[in-house]
Amino acid sequence: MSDNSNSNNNNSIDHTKNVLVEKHISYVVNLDNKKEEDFEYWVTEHLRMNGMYWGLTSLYILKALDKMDRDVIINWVLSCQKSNGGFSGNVSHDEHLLSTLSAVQILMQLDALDRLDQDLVAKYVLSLQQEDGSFFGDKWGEVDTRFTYCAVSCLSLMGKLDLLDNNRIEKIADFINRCKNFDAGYGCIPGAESHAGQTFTCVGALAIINRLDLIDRDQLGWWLCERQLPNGGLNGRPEKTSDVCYSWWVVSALSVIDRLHWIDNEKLRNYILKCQDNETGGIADKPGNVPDVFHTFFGLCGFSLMSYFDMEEIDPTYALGTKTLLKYNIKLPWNKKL
Amino acid sequence: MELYQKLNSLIESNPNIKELGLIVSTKKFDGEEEKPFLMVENNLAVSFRFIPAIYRYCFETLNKLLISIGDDFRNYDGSSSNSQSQSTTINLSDDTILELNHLSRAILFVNAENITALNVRKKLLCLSNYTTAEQEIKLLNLVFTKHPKSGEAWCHRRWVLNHAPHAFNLELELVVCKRVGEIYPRNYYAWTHRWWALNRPNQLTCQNLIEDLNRVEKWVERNVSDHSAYHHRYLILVQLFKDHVVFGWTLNQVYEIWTNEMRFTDKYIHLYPAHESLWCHKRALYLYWNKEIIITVTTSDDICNIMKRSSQIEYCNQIIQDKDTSYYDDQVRFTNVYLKWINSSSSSDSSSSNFLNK
Repeated sequence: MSDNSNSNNNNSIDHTKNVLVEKHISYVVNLDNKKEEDFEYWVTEHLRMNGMYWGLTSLYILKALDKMDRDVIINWVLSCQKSNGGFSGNVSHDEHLLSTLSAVQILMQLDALDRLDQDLVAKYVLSLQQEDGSFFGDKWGEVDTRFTYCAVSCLSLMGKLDLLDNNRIEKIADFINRCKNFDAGYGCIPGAESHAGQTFTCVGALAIINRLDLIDRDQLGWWLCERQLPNGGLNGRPEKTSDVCYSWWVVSALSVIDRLHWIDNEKLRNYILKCQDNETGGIADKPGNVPDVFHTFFGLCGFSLMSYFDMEEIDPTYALGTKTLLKYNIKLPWNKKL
Repeated sequence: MELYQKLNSLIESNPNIKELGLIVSTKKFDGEEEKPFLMVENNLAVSFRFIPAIYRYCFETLNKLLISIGDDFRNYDGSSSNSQSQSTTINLSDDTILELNHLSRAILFVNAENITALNVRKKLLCLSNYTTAEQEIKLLNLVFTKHPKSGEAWCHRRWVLNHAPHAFNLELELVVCKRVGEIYPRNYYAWTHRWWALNRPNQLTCQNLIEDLNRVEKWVERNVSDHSAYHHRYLILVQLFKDHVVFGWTLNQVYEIWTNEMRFTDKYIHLYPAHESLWCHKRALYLYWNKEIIITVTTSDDICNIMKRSSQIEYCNQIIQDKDTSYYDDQVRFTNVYLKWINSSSSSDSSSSNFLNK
């Protein structure tokens, strides 16, 4: 895609007040043209599955999913599946739960879940569950609440959550609960400091297994509110600087526990707007920085969750379009509009 | 290819490399023509523009090699290194092992998040004696000088120490956590790892906890805004309370260390106004005390007065009256947040939750 002639004219749009829809679309569509001579290409190459998910979902939010070559992507995703059912971050990498969830999300988004041997994927996910209710990220045994989220989300998206009996669900809930701190936030393992990113994964996992009752909504709401800084942006822990990615982690968690109105939505919107790159399109972590697909996705999610700019609605738990999820008959009890 | 060999010979001939870095150009350092590598006093610098070529060569060569070795190695999970079936099917020549070792090492220097390269190294540790767990830990120390925030490298480190428990040395782990914290402050991985290390078998002793509490006190003095450090102190204090019987401590000793911590925090809030981390720490101390410890306190224990709600409110009022302090507005904002928390812990008053929106 080359629309340089257009983009020059578009620089007249004030990006601190408007969302640069066309530029973001072309930014995401052109991501795949990174060159193999570039440093950037090689240090992100192992993350391509996640990157593809972030890019596609950005386009979904921008109502431009049709700009991507569906068949090429589906075939590439499927080529990353290993014999044990797990997916890798790129063709020549090892499988991991993080990339497995992204693969399932991509296929769902492209309405191609039927191309997948879902039983095999479920078997892989279940093989990583531990006695104490935690999940390994891959066969090498690291434990993290992020992996718990990936596991339950993956199973639920494939309609296979019932493969976990009540006893196992109970253990999962128990493990997450052990990662809760006095401030009602969550860490990556028991004892670890509360972190907004980990908090999202725990809240999301509890929502999926229908155990939101374990969350102290008011206290957690407070802690999440304290993440908003005077500049409107959000941080992930006390005295860290603001970063656009928390427009997803914090805002989604607040949405699930129905406390989104506790932060100043307008100030956050203005902060995200300032992080847009008026030349290249895309959104950066902080105003003036170089954009990337990760922050572009999370910034757009922020707009969507706060219902700004007529974006396509994204679900705060599954991080997929609400319409996509409804098509697959997935229940979204936290969504008050339904 | 040539660059890769040069890198290998540099590493092999300098076994004590301390630090790894990327530099824009080597010219700045020695004024000579552009070179890919530079060794200055045991620090290895790689010139930025040569990186993609080296990385690409190493990764593509590694992948070709993995394909030629076959799926048994790719799928190997380390669990059955002694079983018949594995040891007979995976038979690597010394040359192959050396090559896998060097390629994966070079990859990690550039990108420590490459899990495939990290996994190759795990498999080598299981299948061969090309290197020891101690050497692998040393390599990771070097990798951290360039990639302190690599979650995957930290994860690999824990795997190595689980795989070879004899390579675990609490002292060394605490040192690496500190050093990495200096390179990248408020490092979540490093502090999580630190608590993990203390929780290894037989490490959670009273002496280890007290020593670490003292070490982190020095850290906090120089890093007032590092909330992770306070959280670590909090974890230690909670452990000292929970295990005080095992440690042979009296409750009074517990009260003393907890109230000292509160006094320390109060002092620092005065010295360094408007640091959210200090206020969060204060809140953690207050909430835990009033939830778990207070039930052990008898009325005659004057020592615990500072932990009472009335004392805390009095302290907050002093702060609010101290209008000459620097950053007064922020200091008052944090004071009010703190007051809200300690009030909400005695009555669940959710109607006032909207305070931050003002």
